[in-house]
Amino acid sequence: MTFIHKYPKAAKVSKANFIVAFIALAIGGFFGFIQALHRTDVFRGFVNSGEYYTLLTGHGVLLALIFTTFFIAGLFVWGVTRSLDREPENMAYTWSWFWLMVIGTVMAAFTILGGLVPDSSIRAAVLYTFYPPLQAHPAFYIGLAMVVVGSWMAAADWFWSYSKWRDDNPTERIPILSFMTLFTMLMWYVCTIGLAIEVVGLLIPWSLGWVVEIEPLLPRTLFWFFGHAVVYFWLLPAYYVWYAILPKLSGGRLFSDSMTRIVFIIFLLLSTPVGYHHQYADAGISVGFKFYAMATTMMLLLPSLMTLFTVIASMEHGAKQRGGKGYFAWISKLPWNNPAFVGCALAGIMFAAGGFSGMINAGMNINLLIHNTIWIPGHFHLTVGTAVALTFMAVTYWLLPQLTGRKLKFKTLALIQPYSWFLGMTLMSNAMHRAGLAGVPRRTAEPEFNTNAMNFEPIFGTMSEMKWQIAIGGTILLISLILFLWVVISSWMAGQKSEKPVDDHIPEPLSGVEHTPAILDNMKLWFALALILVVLAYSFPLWEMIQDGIFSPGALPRPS
Amino acid sequence: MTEGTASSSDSKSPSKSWEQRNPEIEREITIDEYNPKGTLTLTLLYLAIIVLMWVFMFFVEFGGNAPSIIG
Ligand code: HEM
Ligand SMILES: [Cu+2]
Repeated sequence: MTFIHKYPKAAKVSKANFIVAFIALAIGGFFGFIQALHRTDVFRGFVNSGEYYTLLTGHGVLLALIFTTFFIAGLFVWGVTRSLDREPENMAYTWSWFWLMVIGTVMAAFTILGGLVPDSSIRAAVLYTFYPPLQAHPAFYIGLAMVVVGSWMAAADWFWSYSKWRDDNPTERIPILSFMTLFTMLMWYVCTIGLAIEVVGLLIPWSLGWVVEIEPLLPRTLFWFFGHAVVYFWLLPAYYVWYAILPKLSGGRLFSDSMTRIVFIIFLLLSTPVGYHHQYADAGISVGFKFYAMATTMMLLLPSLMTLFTVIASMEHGAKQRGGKGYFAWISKLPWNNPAFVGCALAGIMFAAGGFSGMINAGMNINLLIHNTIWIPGHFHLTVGTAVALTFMAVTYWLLPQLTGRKLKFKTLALIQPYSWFLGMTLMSNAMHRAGLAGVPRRTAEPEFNTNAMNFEPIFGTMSEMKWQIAIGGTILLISLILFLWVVISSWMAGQKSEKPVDDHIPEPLSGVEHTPAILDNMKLWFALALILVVLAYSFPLWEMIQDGIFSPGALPRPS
Repeated sequence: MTEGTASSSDSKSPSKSWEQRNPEIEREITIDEYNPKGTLTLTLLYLAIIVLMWVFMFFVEFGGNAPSIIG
């Protein structure tokens, strides 16, 4: 018996979410490949440079918002159902949030792709941050709002399951998979408040023409209220996989239950108040608030190091049980021939490397050195583009058999896939970082004509070498993506049916829940604290911004 | 600690024995026997690199006494 036989209804929901996620991944990834060729001037035949921004919007939105949100929904349906041992409470409700998100996605995607149709008035080349005064078709904003509302309903679905489970199990501790899900979604509720106000209160009325003028700073601030935390909305599900599943794949057990819970609580508390660290270069926000954001950002190093320790300790435990020895020699005893394990492990290594450039981004002063250069995409392709995306692909190799009742096909191709993603990303991302230091801008179809710097001067290496690394890296990434889709589609359609297509047993943590202080499970307490921290960070500056009227473009560029 | 004492419902203890389920595992290591010294070394190594880069960054930023947004 595996998941699909025990929980057929939930399996169906998970699969439906995965289908949408993988379609978004396929289209978005293909756009990424075109971008890599276009902006390096290796090949510009796919689109013209005006249409580049349409592709870039499609790439950012489809991958960072749509792929992630749907995959996370599928993953959490699996985890909540399994750990609470109950199917969703009401299937009509469950399907309604899924379809709401799908309709929203189709609307947003349609407006973006409209930009590729000549003479079309439907367009949305507003890039991933959709800053005004760049304006999209109203259906773009409305579609994205529907996706967000759908995700709120999905979260409510999991809280519903939890409360029913609580009625039946009044004294038990929250099972760890559900704990991680619920805390991630609590954080999501907090941070999407900013996005909801921005989109519903400002962007939709403005794009419909009800409001003619709009101030740029307020929507930017509301965007980044959401924008840093959304990073953790992507990452926490990857952590979820690393904490809950990776130890098992390594042949061991999760090192500590309480450590896991503490880390998720810290992220709930700190993810939203740090948003200003994306606005170091924005005028109109006092230095003091930026400094507060920097300090809180640096505190996020703590849960990151705790995660590093706990996750590696769980892998070391697995390796030692498989006969590994010594300080480092055990690493070779890890299952480097298991695609699901390899993907998660390589994703983790890339994430550690992302920590280095993240530290530069976080520094209030040194940030100016790399601000709006291609260093930034270099950084987030290590984090969301690999730590998250590769983890999701890898865990699919383990989840899919449970959801379909079929064995994975083409194991060798599946094994090549994470290694090739790692290779492609190493090339593309290191070149992006270095090109950024030389001043190459991001989001530019033809950076060679950047008027500020006609001649970029690299610190080491040459511009043409970096350009080729980006293009070749992007090509390898596309090949890796095709391998992934090939393995998934063929296993899904034609994998051999089996009662137990994969070993889906998850062992208990080494240091179990009986050692976990009860206060960690007090969701109301942590949620209230998170709200207080947000109010401390945001109330005063937002109040300053709306002093002269909410839509007024006449707001002072500096605090009055 | 064995599976039997587990209080969370994340794990449904299957009927097969521990050895049958984990043929690749040579021996079970309990929490008392386990000493994650490799992990500790790796974590300290990573921390050391971060701190070194942090210090290096200070010189890049302030070494030249160039204007900055706090200044
Ligand atoms: C096939 C693999 C991929 C390739 C070849 C690729 C390539 C690129 C390139 C070249 C850019 C920079 C464009 C510019 O600034 O002018 C970019 C931007 C971006 N990529 Fe990727 N990427 C890939 C995968 C991903 C994944 C998996 C994600 C997230 C899950 C992602 C998220 C983003 C985002 C959010 C942007 C920025 C959009 C914006 O600035 O508005 N990419 N990508
Ligand atoms: Cu951030």
